[in-house]
Amino acid sequence: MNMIRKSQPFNLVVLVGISAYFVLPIWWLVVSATKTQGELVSDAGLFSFSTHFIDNLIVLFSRGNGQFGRWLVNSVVYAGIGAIVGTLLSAAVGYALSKYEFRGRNALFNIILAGVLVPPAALALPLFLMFSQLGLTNTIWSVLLPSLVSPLGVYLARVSVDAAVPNELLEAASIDGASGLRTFFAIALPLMGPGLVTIFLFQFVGIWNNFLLPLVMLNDAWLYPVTLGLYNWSGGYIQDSTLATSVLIGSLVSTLPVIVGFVMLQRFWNTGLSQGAVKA
Amino acid sequence: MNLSETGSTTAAPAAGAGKTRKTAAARRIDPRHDPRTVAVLVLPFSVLYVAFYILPIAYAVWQSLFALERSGPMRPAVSVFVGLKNYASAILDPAFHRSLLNVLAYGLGPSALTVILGLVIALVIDARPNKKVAKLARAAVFSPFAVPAVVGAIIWGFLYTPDTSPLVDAARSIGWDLNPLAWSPIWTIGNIAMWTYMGFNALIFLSALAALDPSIFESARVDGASPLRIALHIKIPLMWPSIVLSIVFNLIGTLQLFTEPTALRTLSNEISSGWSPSMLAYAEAAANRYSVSATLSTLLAIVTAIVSFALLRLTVRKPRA
Repeated sequence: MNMIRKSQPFNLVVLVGISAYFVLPIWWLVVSATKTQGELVSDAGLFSFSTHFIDNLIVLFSRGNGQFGRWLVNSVVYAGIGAIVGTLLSAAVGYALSKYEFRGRNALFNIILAGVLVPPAALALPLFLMFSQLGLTNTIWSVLLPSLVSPLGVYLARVSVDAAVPNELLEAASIDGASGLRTFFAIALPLMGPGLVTIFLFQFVGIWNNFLLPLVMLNDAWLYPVTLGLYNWSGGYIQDSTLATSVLIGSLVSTLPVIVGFVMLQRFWNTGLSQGAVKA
Repeated sequence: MNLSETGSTTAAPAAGAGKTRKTAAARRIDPRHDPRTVAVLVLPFSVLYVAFYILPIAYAVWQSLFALERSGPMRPAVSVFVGLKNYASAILDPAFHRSLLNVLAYGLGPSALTVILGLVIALVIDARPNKKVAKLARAAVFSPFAVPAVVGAIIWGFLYTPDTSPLVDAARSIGWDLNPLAWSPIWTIGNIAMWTYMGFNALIFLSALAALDPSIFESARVDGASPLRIALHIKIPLMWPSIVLSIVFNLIGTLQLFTEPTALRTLSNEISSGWSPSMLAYAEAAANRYSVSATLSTLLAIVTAIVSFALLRLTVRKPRA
């Protein structure tokens, strides 16, 4: 007991130090979003708030005919639709793999699991070549369709069904005459709650943060997600130094909702993730 | 939610459909055999998986076997089957070697640190000096994971640039002339990636720690083992599967390193357009040398598959040994 008590103040200092490294850059972003271009350089302090937050916000959303607002909407569409549909698809396969017996079940699971190990970077360029053969590059579909597939989601869904959906319940449903699909939608899906939240969140963040795929696929700036838009702006500091303030406040606007959502839903995905970890 | 609503409105037809299903179920007895339902559940994902995972790989392999060749100076270039020639020239290409060396150094440096420090963080948080502090630290450590890599590179880009950086200001005020932008890209890029992913790794470890049976180290504690010894000799060996999992994730991340160096390139002259293998493949595609790009993509996928498969094999063996 003595040992533990002695190590506690040390642990506390370590924890505060570690947390600072992770949080301070985000904090710096918040502070910087309140500054003018000149103040960014003249007063680079970590606590020197200024008063130009609203001005910067107005410039951000009016720049280039309101490009930024459009990028935000695009990101919401890509990540929102991609993650909702993707989660449903993963849940369906994970459920089938967990609860049904069919020929090729193990082979299917192994092939999907191998997909977890395929680097998206190795897929993006071949996908571009394929889509350009079909004349589908520079469309919403070129970003949305490949984003629907998440092998990791299938794995997490299977683990979640194993843990949260008892076989007895499904047998009872079958005896009561419920069809397989109805059992899936009305009984299994609601029971998978935390698991579904985990799959949804990780896929949402994955698509929201994706950079390479839209970079390869899209030419038209009106189709950009917010990451690609900010990247393009950040290449233009030298020509237009006022871009820096917009890039900073744009980074904040595009990131903060995701961080807040993630942290607030922590108790859901903690359960979902720990189910996966125990299994792994 | 909507689900219960649609459930009640479609109850009548569903019950009708259920009747036929019931006789089928009665015939087979076991509800776990139902090919029609399985097909409906499995097919949509499988079709997309084939289209967007398997076909691109097959297409890249196919493309990598061809090259553009001109039969004369004024003739248009035609695609010619060249077998494995593209692979031979990629493997001999010094630019490819350089990108591999960069990624290797990155893997042994920042990427390894991500796992090691992630483990240390998880052990410290798990030791719970104070429940509230531990919970806050957990959220703090994880929050950069939600920051897009592009935005992470933008933020750190400013923090590396002497004019706009409070860090450089602070260092200069104590007489240390700091210019992070001149540092090796391994570490300027590595720091951004460590900042983003270390918390995610710590989280995997925390889940593994939470799943351990506390009675195991309770007895060690009673026997007088220090927390450090308990961590080294009991906790870490028991966490081995999740440690290998995290190594595999970091390895995949290392081999496909693209976003951070690309975004940081706008600020740093130290990063070339072909700094990592993925960047090289992208640069080749941008220059319309598609078959070279496809060759590099295929090589990247093969190397990743071999290394991560070997590592995963290791996990399966280890706990049983």
